[in-house]
Amino acid sequence: MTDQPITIIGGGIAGLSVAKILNENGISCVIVERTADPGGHARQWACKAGTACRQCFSCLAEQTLRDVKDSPKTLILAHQELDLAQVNPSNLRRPPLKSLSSGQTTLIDSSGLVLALGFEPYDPGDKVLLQHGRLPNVRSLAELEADLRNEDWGSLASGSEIAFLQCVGSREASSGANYCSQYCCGAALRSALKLSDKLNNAEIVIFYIDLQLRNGRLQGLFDEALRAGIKFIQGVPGEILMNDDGKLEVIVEENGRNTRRQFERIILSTGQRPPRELADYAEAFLLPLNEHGFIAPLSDSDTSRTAVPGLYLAGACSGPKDIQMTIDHAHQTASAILQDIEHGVKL
Amino acid sequence: MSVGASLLNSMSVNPESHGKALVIGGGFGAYASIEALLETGFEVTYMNCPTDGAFVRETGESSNLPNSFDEDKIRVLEDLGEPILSKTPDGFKLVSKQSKDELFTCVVVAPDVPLVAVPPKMSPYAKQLTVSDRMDKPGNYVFLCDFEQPSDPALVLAAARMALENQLSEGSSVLLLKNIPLPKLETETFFDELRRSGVLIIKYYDDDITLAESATETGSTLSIRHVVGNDDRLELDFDELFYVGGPDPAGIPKWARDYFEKERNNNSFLRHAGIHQNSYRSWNSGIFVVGPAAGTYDSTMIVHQARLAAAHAKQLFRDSDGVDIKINSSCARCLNCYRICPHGAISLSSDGSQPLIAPISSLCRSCGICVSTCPNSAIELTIPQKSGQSDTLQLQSIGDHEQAIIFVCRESAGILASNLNVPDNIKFIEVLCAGSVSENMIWEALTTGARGVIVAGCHSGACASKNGTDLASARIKAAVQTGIFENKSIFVKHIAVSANEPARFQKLLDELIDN
Repeated sequence: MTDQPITIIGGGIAGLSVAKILNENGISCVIVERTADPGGHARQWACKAGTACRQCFSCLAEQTLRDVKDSPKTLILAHQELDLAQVNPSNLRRPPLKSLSSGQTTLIDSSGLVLALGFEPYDPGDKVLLQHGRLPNVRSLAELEADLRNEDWGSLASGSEIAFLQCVGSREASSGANYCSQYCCGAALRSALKLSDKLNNAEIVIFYIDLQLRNGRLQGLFDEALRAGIKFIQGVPGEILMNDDGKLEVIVEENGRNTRRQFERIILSTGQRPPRELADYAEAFLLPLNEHGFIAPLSDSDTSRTAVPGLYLAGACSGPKDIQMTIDHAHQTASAILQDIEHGVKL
Repeated sequence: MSVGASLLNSMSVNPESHGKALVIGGGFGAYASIEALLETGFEVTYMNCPTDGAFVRETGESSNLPNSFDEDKIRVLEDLGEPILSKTPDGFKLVSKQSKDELFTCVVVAPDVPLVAVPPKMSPYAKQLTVSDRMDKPGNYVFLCDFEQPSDPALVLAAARMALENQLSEGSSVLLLKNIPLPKLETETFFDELRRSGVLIIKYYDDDITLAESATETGSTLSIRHVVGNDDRLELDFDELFYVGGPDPAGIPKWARDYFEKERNNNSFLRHAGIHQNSYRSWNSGIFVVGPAAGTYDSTMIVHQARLAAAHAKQLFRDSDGVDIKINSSCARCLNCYRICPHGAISLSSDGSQPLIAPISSLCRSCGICVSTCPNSAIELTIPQKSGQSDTLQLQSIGDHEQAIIFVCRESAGILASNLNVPDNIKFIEVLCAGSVSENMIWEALTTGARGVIVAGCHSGACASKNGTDLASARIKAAVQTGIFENKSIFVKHIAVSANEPARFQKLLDELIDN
């Protein structure tokens, strides 16, 4: 065992889950969080339960944060980040932390370092034709989550027509994201079901390229969505217009012909991108990036460790993940750390 | 303590079962589990159920994922007859031809195939693709996926790999599917490679696919209506038609399938523990499910599952973190607690002439449900942790007549309670699970003069103790139906709320308070 803490960079659900498991096993942690309050993206999300839980896992962000805050074994440093300019890759035992308020740098003794840097949501503003940011009723998935969380239905009422456009910013080589973001099919299915619970007779259409019903949970949700009358149309419109009635309009290929369809609100299922500064982190630690810009782990079968002993990855900075996959991955990282501590491996 | 679990707490107790794991399954999931268990320091016994697991094939050749195991390090049980597996306070007991009353700490179920086959519904001329199929000679091949029901993603990838191989050796391949599965970061580029190499990938939208009447065993024509609403049909000639369904679970012996049957959900996957225990844990503490039997996971995810199952297994039957359950002499052996414990922490010991209730403290997650169902108050649960449940003291401290008492589950409503805007005469009492609020506690709360009692638990299905919140809801429904609360000035209610619904919880309370 070691007296020096494990330093976790990033206080999202990945970092918190690593800290929680380590705390329960008596290992102390320091969580370095850039914002005022940890929890990351997952904590901004809404509960999607209808009459029963739909297993979106977002409530675990609150629960894990509570557990970590309650634990005397974890110190959360808010408004701080790793001072990349001063990281010495040959000696990581005292990583430098920079306070974002005072600008001061302090060194913190660590026996291990976990990068839990998360992801960056794709900015749909890049796609001018989708009008996000210009038309108020074109919302991103993250904005929808905030609305659901606050029970803010805006102009939506029973009978509203709502569309989801999948794979916005995912699966496109042209913008450098030739991969599936892994979480949006599930997120759209759950949000659509929640909307259909809350709004009577809402007409919901999900435009998709390929549905990724990754595991048993999603298969069940898809069946539920079909029963709830949610429509699935293959092919994603590339342009959103506003017609004279103030409604949104897209061109849909139906029965071999192009027809126009009107919607009250359109949700863009925005993908996950590597955080902008991830390349700088990789460079500072001499870690390789994969072709999509995420940090490459040690191997396919060991996605928690890196080539540097004592330096670990957790969560979406090693590839896009939904909340469940992130938690699984973070727990695996925690168990790798515990094994390494037992074998005396550290920075 | 109830969310997730500590992974590597010190182990002691039960030297007989200590550190022994039983793996039932075959193929990649089983190999990954064996490797992970050996890494974690377990002694592994392997019961082989030969399956043609898709994942070894899906991962391709460059992979360094395990595809076999070292036979010297583990014990393999073969001729099993009809083994019987049961749970005892000391661990899982296996009785079979080869082993007499052997004890294990944990059981890992990894059959490497979904538990139900995707039945071939195509014409008899179609050949069902299995993962052991290899390309003999290049030819004119059609791979039909997602016909009538979704194909197993791993098998679709195996088919895609075969299509590519065929195309690159001068054959010609057509892949027919409804959804391209993209379980991994690299899969999109793999399909790009397929397109570049000339493999024809056709998406079809309905199941209107027919084999031409001239079909023979050696070659034929397939006709698809592939543009929605367009009556033009696409005719494909081929030497062989492969139907891509799912891997065949036929290798799983009947006894094992019967055993798994009890744990199957309506999508044919093994039931897992819900959001609090991730994808690899069965509700039956100590049983872990790894691989395609729990859902369609890619190979990296299966390695995660195997590692986590091994780490959690190590935590089982450890010292009990100070949680202690005792059964006192007033026990009438009604078995209520045995039936209801969501964590499998109550078992029966059959040593004496009659069965005795034998609690397993190390498995207890201290939800208090057993205490609330015991008619004789025979269960003494000691929890060393901070937030106490039941707290009659807290109840007695309330005397005012205008109050409502809200029992909040500490996993959901309890997290929100401190940030809510409610009048001072509303009192929150944190409990470890909504299911631990017994009728007695509700009565006790009402006798303090409260006019309303609300039990706020998690959503059904999100309870950290399986069905604690359902139990709370059922209890209150039953109590209200008896009519004892008919006095109009009193209300008793169950509400379901999650830890990230502050707006909704506030709204619900406002409505209740207004009334």
